[in-house]
Amino acid sequence: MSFFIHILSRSLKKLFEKDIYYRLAKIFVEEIPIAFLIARRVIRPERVSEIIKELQYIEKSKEDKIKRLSDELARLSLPDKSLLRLYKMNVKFSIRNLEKYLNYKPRTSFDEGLELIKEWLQFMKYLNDNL
Amino acid sequence: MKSFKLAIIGAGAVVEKYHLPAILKLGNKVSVEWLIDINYERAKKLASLYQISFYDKDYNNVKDVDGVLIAVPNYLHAQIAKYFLNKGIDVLVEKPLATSSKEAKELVEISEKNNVRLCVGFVRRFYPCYTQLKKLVDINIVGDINRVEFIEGWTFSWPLESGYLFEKSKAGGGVLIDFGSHVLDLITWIFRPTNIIIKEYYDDNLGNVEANAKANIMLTTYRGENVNVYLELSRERDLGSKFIVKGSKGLLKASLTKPLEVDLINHNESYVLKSKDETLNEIDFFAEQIRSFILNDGRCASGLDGLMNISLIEHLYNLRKPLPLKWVYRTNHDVKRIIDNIINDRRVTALITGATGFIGGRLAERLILDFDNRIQVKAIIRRWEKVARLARLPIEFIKGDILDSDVVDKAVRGSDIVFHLAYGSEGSEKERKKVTIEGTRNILEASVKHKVKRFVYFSTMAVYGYNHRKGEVIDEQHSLIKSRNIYADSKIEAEKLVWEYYRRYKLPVVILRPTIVYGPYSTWITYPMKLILKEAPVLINGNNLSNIVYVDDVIDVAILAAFLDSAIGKAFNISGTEDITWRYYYEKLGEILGKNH
Repeated sequence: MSFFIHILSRSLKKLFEKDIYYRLAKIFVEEIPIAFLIARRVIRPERVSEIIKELQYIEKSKEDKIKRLSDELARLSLPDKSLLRLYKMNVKFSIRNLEKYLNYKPRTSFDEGLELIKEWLQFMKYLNDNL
Repeated sequence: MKSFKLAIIGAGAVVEKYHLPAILKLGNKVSVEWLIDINYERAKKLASLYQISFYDKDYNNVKDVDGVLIAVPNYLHAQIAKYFLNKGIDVLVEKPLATSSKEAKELVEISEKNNVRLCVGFVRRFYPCYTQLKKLVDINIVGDINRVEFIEGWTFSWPLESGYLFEKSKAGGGVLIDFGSHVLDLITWIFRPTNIIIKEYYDDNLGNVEANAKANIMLTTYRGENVNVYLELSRERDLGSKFIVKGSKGLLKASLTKPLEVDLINHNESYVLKSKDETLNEIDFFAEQIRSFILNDGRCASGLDGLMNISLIEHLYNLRKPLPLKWVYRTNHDVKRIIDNIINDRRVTALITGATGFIGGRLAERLILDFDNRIQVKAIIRRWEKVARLARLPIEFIKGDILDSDVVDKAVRGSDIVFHLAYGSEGSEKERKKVTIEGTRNILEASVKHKVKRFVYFSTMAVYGYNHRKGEVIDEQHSLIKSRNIYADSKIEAEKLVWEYYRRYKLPVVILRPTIVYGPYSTWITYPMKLILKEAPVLINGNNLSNIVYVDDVIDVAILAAFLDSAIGKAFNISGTEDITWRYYYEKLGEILGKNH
């Protein structure tokens, strides 16, 4: 453990890229009281503030990175999980019951539907402006 | 300013948000002595907040005041104003002065006879952007004026305490009498017309109050210029706010979104004229209006202005033509013929839950339009803010939540058919699930109690789960598979309840399982279009089938299911018949937008 803390305090920034070290570092600082580590001479008292500072820096970088990623994802408007599952489905839905019990078949062709959508979008003034 | 004792009649949103904070700004010379509202608790609450000595339900109890501010539903304006004018008390009435020119004329006559002031709350006269624009017009800065455009539209979001704005008998009309009255007042105030000719007026009223209105008016200004005025108003579309005055030398632009400035474009030079005090806000404008009323300085709109305003509105309504909205008028005559034969001359009452949604709203439209009002529609709604579009139709609104069994009981009572579309769409997963399942239970319970003739439940194709063999054809016999999607899984639970009530209580139920429903107002249009406009990757296997179906086809099925006995106890998939892939769907939407995606 002493060896690990030594490594951690010296080259944390480099190791950060490998997430496993970051997580281990967090466990040390957040879940094991610093006082305990000092008492066990795992870390030297004069190194404590330096280690915490480095970890805070890493935390901040990590936050920034996550924020950048989430901003990017938001820009892309990625579909949620259920939507992706929907897009992945390659099935057809039978409308046998409609025909059998209601004697009905959908009447609106896709082209006709699109024409109506186009008119509606013009009315809403969406065609010239961003939604 | 001398001391002034005021009574306020009405404790609704406009009083809470604007009038009361505005009066505080006028200092201790102006005191609100009375606050009256039919909702006693609300009057009490606001009175306590603003340290108002007297509060009551009845305006007849008001005494010892110098003036009265009336901010109640439109249909009560005339009655209450008349009462105070007859007592010799000055009156400031929120716009419109009354819901008819006859009432307005009577008020003006009483105020003249009794020599008391009658003012109307056209507060926009106190917005710096409009006062500045008026001054610039008066000094002829853009030359001879030939055209005016006033375009204003917002998605309705006013926190209404009551739903009177969505009842024609109480509001007097829709968007035109609502903020359209402000717009017309600005035009008549600024241009002081000597002659007005209404060329055309269109709106989308379908039997109640319009959400959209358009007008072309020709007016002759006090200087003799003939001006074409184009108005476009909406309380369902975000059109922004644009007031443009075009003259021979340039143009002026003002907007409610920038209330402190006016744009002047003259000889290709562009200027922004800003108010000296940049800290002013809407509450200051309301305060200025009340100050003007108290001081009687002539800036406040008079009773005569209010009379002209309502006369013009009436005139516009009299010349009304329907807005040509193709997607609205789409009766399926085959379906209509079948249903006409079943209902004959009877009147049928249908309750719709989830009517403010895309499918529910279209269902209400079709039921009313296709069957010439023989089907009376009721709707449970949770918030008035969402009702603007639906209120074009003569629907009986019941405000409340489907989790409230008293509300549900009241709504279901007297209904022949229940179309249940509401589901949990807000809040935590637990809350959403509760609305979908327990809400359905409440509706079913009341439907059994009140012997509803048909219960049509809108489920979804998502109840079949998402993992299927490639090319599988899914029919109604397919098992329902949970997918850890709260919407789909709750619908499965709700379906179980529907079948249970069918078996146990013989409630005549039908379950509809539509696929991807597209049409005007569908998120299956607006969401993909957002992606396309952002040029974001769509991230789909574009060759799979979308199974899309146009909303009117779903409505056809819902109507047939509600009347044909052959539908009872059955579930129905509703999907389009064409094999439209996701790629094709997105490409076609991209084409409409002029983008190849």
